[in-house]
Amino acid sequence: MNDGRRLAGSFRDPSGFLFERDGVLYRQVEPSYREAYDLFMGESGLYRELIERGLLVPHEEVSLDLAASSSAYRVLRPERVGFISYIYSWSFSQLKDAAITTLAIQRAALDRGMVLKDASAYNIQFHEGRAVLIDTLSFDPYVEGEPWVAYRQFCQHFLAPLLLMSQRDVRLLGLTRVHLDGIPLDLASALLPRRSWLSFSTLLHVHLHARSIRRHSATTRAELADRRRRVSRPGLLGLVDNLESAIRSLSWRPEGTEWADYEVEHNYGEAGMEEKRRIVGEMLRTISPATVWDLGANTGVFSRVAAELGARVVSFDVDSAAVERSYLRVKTSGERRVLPILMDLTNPSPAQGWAHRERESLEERGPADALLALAIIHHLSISNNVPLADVASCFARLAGALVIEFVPREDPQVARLLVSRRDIFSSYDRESFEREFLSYYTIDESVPVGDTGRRLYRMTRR
Amino acid sequence: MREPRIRKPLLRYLGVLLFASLVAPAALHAMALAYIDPLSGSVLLQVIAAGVLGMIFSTKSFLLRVRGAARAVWSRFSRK
Repeated sequence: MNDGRRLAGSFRDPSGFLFERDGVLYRQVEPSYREAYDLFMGESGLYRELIERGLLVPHEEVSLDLAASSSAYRVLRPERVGFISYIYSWSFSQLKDAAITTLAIQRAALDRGMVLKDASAYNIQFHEGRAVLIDTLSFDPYVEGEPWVAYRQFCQHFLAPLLLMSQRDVRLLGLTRVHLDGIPLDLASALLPRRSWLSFSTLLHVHLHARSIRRHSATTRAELADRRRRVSRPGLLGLVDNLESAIRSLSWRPEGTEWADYEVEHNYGEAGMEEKRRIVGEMLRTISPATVWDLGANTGVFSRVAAELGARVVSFDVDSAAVERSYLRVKTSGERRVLPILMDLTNPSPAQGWAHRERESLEERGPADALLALAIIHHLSISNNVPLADVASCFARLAGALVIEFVPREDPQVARLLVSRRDIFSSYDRESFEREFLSYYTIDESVPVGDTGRRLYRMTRR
Repeated sequence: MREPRIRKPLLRYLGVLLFASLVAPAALHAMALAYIDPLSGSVLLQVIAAGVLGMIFSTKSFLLRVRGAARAVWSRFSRK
């Protein structure tokens, strides 16, 4: 009974925790959560509604013999999400959809006599192309008159970053990587433009909220008890309604960034693109991977090639606009196998939080079966000065198979990278590339891409 | 019935300022201890916000119901 491995990031809520046994993910429900869990699963009808509406990851109850400790009230086996992504890797619309999903769940819970007891962005994941709640234990029975305890958390995790991205700069999402409990409202208030004070919702949920928190930071529990005042159910519904209106009204247009128009301006003509798509497809068909990580995917053209072959693809790019466009395509086309993710490969999201173990690094969330690394090697080796051997070593840790495109020094894209800097990359050539990668891989296949001078390789880790 | 969505008229903006200035010092409901800290100032602000938004929400819900009923009556009448 005690050989289950508790997940390091699952410790905050005393209602239960996640653990792994023999590679299978389980959730243990503790006796203290019994009443709420039974209400959630049974009489309230909330679990069934959330599953039917695709707002919650389903689970099945399994034998208590599988529990991680003898105290368990229930053991659940949730449907596993393919790739765990964090708020700081989402595009604007992904965060917006995660926020709307959270509010839809809160509304459904209130309708059925329960309430969300937390509103963490880390409880939302993208599963089968949709934002879903993964924390089954996030609900408490609703008690008439009680405020929503997760209101501040919702504002910090969702509203503040969305406002900053929409009204100031989309790159301010990066603040969530530093502030794991969401962007502090006083910081958001200071960074938002003055005109944001004219928006009723922003004034209320951010500016006045931040000032109220600061003003009452020293208020004692006894003083709070003296100030009893109810929050009615219509009041809570009004609050949720207003937050949803505020979030739905926010927008960001994916344009003006370096890579936003790359797909239409890149180095290949239509025939070259078709040739590249064909070769990549054939190589992937040979590998037949179940999971693919597409590094430097831009808007995900080749991610879709892998997805059409049946793979589940995480489509990484450093550019907010490219990831946004890719995600919007996921939504409009109803794609279930492609997950666009914002990631700077020269500084991937690290292991962080308590004891460096609360949020996993990119590498810890792998490995994938195959990597796609198309037209990215020059950005890593020349723009970021990473030695070819280091690129090979890193890629070999992320997946067993590799489809990689080598872009030669003569390529216009490489010339562009060298236009304003000294060329210190004398060892950047095909011969060195193959030699360094052969230390980690066998080269199974190598195919030139038309007359572009570029070459595609299929490799297998040694 | 779908819950109404609330827009942001100037009146609401003025209303919350008035409401906040009148009742802000006297608001908190004793709630069950949560595992996350809601922060005192956040709870106080929420009480005020929910007071204002709740009134607007209820009014809007009522008006939408009236409109729905009126439409139903009208469509029945026009079918005849």
